[in-house]
Amino acid sequence: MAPQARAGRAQANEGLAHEDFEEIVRAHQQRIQRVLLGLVRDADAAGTLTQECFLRAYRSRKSFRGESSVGTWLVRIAVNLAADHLRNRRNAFWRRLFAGATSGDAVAAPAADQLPDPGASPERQLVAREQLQAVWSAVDTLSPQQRAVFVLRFAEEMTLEEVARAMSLEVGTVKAHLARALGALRNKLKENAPHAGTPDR
Amino acid sequence: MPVHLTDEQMVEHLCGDADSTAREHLAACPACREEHERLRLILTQYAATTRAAAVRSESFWQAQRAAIVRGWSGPPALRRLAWAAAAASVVLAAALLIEVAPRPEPHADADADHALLVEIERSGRRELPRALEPAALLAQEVSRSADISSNP
Repeated sequence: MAPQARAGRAQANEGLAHEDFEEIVRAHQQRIQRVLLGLVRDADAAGTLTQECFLRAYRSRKSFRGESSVGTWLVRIAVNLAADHLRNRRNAFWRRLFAGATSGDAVAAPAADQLPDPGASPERQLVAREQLQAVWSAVDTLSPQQRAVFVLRFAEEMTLEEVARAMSLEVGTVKAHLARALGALRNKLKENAPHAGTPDR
Repeated sequence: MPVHLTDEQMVEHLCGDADSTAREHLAACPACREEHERLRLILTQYAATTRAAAVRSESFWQAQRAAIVRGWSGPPALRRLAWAAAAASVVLAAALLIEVAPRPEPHADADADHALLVEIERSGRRELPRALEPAALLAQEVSRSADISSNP
């Protein structure tokens, strides 16, 4: 069996083997980095947390029981790490300040070349950037758990069931968090364009 | 005022999980349809932007993999040795603290115990409880005064 297939397979009651781990990192590192970037919005921190995520997974590989996929298990570890990081954001701020790094702002606002349609008219690009800025701002107002649910569903495009498994929540709770996040987003959009035709809820 | 889709219903629509009532409303309500479409587009852009922001070169991923592998496959013997040295230092420090720490004077406790025993013994020998001693003294005074007045 190919290592990747072994790595992705649930190995009930066996844990994960040391020799599979390099392949697990190769298969999941980009997704974990992306999830963490969406959650902490700091490229340096996302890189560090990605490494920490795989180290934690490696240390607890024996306790992996295959109740979820390896990908879901890793996302759960990443979400917990991001929550810890967001709680300690003040410390991170001081570390960045002393290090003189500014990369924390690298993903604060989407650059023009990151927009999905760089060939669109300048006016259309401006609107798209403002809308995306509204999404980022709305995400910033959410609790770590709501933010994680929003990022997993709408940035990672995981299903409601996958999000629920990764977060150890009921699907109904995931929907409630998403509704709260969507409410925050609609309010931000209304602030940015008060005359837009948002229907009253 | 017309009743539009709530945030919960809009989320269910955006996740493809809406019930028939919400689906019928969306089909019949242009305002909600427009809002749904606007949100769907924004969230699609958000997903695409997040993916674009996370794009890195293959050399970045290679370096990250190398760092992760270094983290878990560092020399375990050395790490075990470091832990053993740390544990030995803690034990040694604890032993030194126990040895150096001043021991309490044993006779102090013995004195306290002895004093307590003497006090209990005295109390036992007393005919009267301590609380009634003033009354006894008064009674003695009264009887002495009576003796003096009867035998001048």
